[in-house]
Amino acid sequence: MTVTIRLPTVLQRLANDQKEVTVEGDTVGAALQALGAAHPALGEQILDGPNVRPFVKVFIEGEEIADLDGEDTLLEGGESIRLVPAIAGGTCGCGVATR
Amino acid sequence: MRSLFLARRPVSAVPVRLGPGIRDALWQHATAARPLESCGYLVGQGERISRFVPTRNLHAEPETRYSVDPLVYLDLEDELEDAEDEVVGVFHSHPATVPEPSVTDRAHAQPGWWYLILGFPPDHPQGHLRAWHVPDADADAPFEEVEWTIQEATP
Repeated sequence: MTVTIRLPTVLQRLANDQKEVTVEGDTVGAALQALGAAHPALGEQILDGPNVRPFVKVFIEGEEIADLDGEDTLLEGGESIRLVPAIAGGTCGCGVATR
Repeated sequence: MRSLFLARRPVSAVPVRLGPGIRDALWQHATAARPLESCGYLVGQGERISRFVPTRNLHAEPETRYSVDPLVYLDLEDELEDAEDEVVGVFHSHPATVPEPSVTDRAHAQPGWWYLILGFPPDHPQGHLRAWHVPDADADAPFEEVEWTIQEATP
């Protein structure tokens, strides 16, 4: 299945400044692995082995894959997948990161 | 665990420039949210921040954590698709501690973005704003502090 993955601006530099990348995959996970294979630096940023890193959110046709079947969400072809940096943090009682 | 540290010396020769009203908007958002953490996106170009877009703090433990609303990011990317400005960073507040990034802040940090933190530690009860930056795509790159200044409105 051919799908389009739209990249957030902050990640476009890791994909030769492309806004969108077209990849093949039967599932969201397979499509993201194909993206990582085509652009290894981007893959390093968004993938941890077979899984999407927790600070990346993935939307397919406006719906977060966490509310679907995650990386196993099936693709029909022609979908638009969007990646969003999941920004989180805070004081959390774990202290300041110091040398 | 990746090696994490802060660089204490400002590294940017050109400080982050906050557009008119940005500083006040950050203070108002953070003050209204206390004792919870507050957050939002920073929009601008390069070192210039021209707009603050507050979002809800979606984290389940907002007293000590924050999570910016990703749907607001999607809307911003659509809105800014043909604009010169883009999302250039994130703001969040520490309601009772120093404005220094935590381990969790670094774990989620996007290289190239500005991170403005407004802290309300006991020695700065009125609030203390500091700016941080992860300058490259190295997964182990440290947060570095950068100077910030207020850009006056042009007549």
